[in-house]
Amino acid sequence: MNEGEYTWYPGCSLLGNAKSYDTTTRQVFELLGLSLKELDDWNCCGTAAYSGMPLKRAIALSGRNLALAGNIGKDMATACPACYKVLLTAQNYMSENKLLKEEVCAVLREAGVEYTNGVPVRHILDILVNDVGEQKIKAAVKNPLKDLQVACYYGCQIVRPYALFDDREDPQTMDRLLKWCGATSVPFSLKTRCCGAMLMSTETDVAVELSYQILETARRAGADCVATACPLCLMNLDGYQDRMPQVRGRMHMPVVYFTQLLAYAFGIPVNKLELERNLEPVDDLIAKLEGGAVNV
Amino acid sequence: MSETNGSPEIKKDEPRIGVYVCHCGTNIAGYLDVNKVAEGAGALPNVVVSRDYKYMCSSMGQELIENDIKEFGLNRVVVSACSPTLHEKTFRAACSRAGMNQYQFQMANIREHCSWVTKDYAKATEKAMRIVSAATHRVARNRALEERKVTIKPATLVIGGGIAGIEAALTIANAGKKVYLLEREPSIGGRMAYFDKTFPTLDCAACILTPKMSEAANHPNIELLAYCELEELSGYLGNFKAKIRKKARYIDEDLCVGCGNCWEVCPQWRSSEAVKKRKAGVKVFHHEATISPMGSCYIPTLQAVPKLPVIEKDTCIHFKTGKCNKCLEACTLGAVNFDQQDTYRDIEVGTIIVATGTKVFDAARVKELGWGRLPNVITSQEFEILCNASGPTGGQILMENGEPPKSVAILHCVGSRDENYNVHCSRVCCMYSLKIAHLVREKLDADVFEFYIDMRTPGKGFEEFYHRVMDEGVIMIRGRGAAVSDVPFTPEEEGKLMVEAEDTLLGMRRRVPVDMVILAVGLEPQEDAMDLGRMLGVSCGMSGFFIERHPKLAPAMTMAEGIFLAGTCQGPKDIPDSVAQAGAAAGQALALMDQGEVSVEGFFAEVAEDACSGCRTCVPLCPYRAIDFITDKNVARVNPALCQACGTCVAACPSSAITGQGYSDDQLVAELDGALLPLSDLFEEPEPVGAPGGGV
Ligand code: SF4
Ligand code: SF4
Repeated sequence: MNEGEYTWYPGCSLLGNAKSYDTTTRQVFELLGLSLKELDDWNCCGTAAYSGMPLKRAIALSGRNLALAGNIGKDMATACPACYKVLLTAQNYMSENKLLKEEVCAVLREAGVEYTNGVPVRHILDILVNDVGEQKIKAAVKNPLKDLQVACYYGCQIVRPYALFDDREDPQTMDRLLKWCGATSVPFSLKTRCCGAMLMSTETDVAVELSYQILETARRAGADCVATACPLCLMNLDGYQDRMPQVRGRMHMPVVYFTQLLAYAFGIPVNKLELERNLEPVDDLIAKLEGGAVNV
Repeated sequence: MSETNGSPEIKKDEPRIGVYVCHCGTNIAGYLDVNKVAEGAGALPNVVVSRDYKYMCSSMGQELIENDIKEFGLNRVVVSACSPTLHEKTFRAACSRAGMNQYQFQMANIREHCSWVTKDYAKATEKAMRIVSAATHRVARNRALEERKVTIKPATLVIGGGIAGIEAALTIANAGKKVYLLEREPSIGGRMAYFDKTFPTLDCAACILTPKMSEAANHPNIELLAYCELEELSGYLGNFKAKIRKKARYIDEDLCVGCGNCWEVCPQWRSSEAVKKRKAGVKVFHHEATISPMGSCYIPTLQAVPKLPVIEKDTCIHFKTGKCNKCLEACTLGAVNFDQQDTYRDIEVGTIIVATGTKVFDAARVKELGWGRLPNVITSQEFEILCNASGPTGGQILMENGEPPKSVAILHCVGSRDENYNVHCSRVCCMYSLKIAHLVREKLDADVFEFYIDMRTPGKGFEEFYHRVMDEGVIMIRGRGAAVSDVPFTPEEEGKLMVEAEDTLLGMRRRVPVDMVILAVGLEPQEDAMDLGRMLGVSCGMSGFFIERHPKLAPAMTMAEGIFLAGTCQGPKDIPDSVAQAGAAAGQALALMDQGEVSVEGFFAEVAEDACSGCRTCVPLCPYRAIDFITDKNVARVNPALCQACGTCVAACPSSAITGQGYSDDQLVAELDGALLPLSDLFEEPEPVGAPGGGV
């Protein structure tokens, strides 16, 4: 593997609703001196919906991305937990099921793609903590996130079913990253609790309740914002706060990508973080960040 | 077959083998062709007679062997049936009765090693044939050996001073034998010492336990080794040698009278707010219970036996700074001694009873249940202490704010029946949860909800108790408690703990707000069970508990001769079962010791003196110090009385001068030859129809 060079698999969300995640990830990698080269001609990973299809089809879809990236030979970085999970699953099926692998390879060959041995699929949290590490992150910090209380929310897919680089129940990588940037991570027990995911569109009441638990726990822990690594989580947590129970008044909890906070800490101005894409107003958070910066 | 009744003319050492293939009902016969195996065996060299029979271990089966030995003049027997651990002794005895040397018997295991694990009928038959052939080839070379006698020291080491250990110790001591009762905690009494009431009779745990504790302490035949660890164990059945480390208490046992002056003044009470509020009552608790406000100088319970405090070096201020000395000053008898050191001693015993108990599941591992994070989520263990009349609240059930709860939820199966933690059922939790429910209802006007998967109440009076508790108005919800949340959805939920579960009877999600949650934590093997097992030669099963010799027929024995099991170290069980097993273990240990000496296997190592080069390689290797070096002859010699037939010297001898009796090279090579015989030799080709001649 070439050190500091990664193949970037953005996935569909990062081109659409999670554009700010894409932008800030690229900024963060650039500021750390890492190369992040987008995979040429990538396709959708299939996400949860396509996993329900006959196995061969679902695996072939992700297999194509793995094959393309495998030919480049650099670790494939991804930010979306769904892409991460689906690509890992495909990889696992391919290495454990010889018959399936042969069938998928045949399908891919017809499409003109040669699958060799796949490629290491890495989540950016893993890369930032384990490849880059504390020293380099701390050295890159220009605006420490002083006084910022963050609840680190990982969502369910980064550590399930494969807990490759972090704990299944109590992951720590995001907490460590943000601490290195000067923030405080509040004690937060629902780090990997489900936000409701796709149920938000079909069983809205159920999903709103789940999202509410996460935000209310963060609020009670004294968080200024919730940092997440997942586009779908952000959408659910951010978009439905007006429909949540109002035991302690209406919820106003800013939910941001952890990369937005990193980018800010590394010196990217607040107006370049695309925070305006959030549905819930983030003025308080911005005030807090800017106030902190002034105080430095 | 020319030789029939009377006195057959046989050369003395010519092997005459009988082979018996057991059906084991359908356990073997249902999976392979026992007829064919018996027939094939009949064609093997030296086999005089071969038969198959439904149940070889029955008295009829045994008589069959005995009669054949007499009738055909057999001097070798192979029984091809189950595992030798089950019936080798049975058949050896049958052979002995008929006048054959029992070591010329060989067991061929075609059940565990074959019929139970080999699916294909034809393949299983072939494999069984090979196993039988191997045993038959081997047995022809089995020499007649004699059993050896070992003397048994009339003393027992009981490891663990909980209720099982105490019971075993008292039984043996009452029979007039010496007992060393070893306990690593400062006091004996084990887990039961922290219970308030016991199910289903609801008698006071302390009232039935403490008399036994003091009886054990005062018994002339029991020597209490409290606050001691087993460091090393050597020896074998009848002659074990144990090295015991007595841990420094920093209290002079001869001077201390247990007045309490020292522990009252220790400033190291753990100082959480909750603890301060609860401090009103008695202050002293077990360290496993987190609501215990415990100083560095403490006594485990006020009923501790021996009634001596102990100073915990790790937390004591004196050992860190040399200052404080409050306890030293408070003790008017001068019993506090910071210079005390660990001391060591060796003891010799004939038998050992392992009663090391369990540890309770660490509830912090199930993060979603909130223990250690949410106030008023406590474990059942903590509830016992809270409810205990000599507990911190004097037996009142109080929340952290000092108020009694108005509603309580009890969550079953925490850490049990859960693939993430322990697959096993901890067996006691359903019943103790019902007991807790009863105690809450008795003491408070509170709603009690039990969240259970299945209600498991198989014991005398247990189901009746379950009905009684239901009649008392406890609300049963069939569904595992999935999560405890302190995040309210409605104003009514504010300040409550919400238990979430899937009610499998109603088929719906439940969310029940309560004031207090009690987690019914399961039982796990002790953390160091494996280490102890290694020292004793007793292995641990999948779930980590010690394995008994036979799950049904020898539940208190182990594979190691002279070492027995009692109580929860063998698997989760309640007090009556622990006590019953302790009695069984004690009885079996006594039976051995009463004989004074027992026979052990005739296997031992033997040095061929003409081949011995006198290199002395073997001498230091023998773990039982059984090898002497005869200087004037310049050879090594094994003392058969001490040899345990471990084989270490056999493998080590560079001149191949040492033979393991019963496991000689020619026996093992013959066994291999038998197993690898070409198939056509094992099965005779089926005779063409109408062909002349024929087999037996
Ligand atoms: S010297 Fe140690 S044990 Fe004694 S009172 Fe002080 S802290 Fe407690
Ligand atoms: S087999 Fe050898 S090493 Fe083992 S106990 Fe006997 S004499 Fe000692």
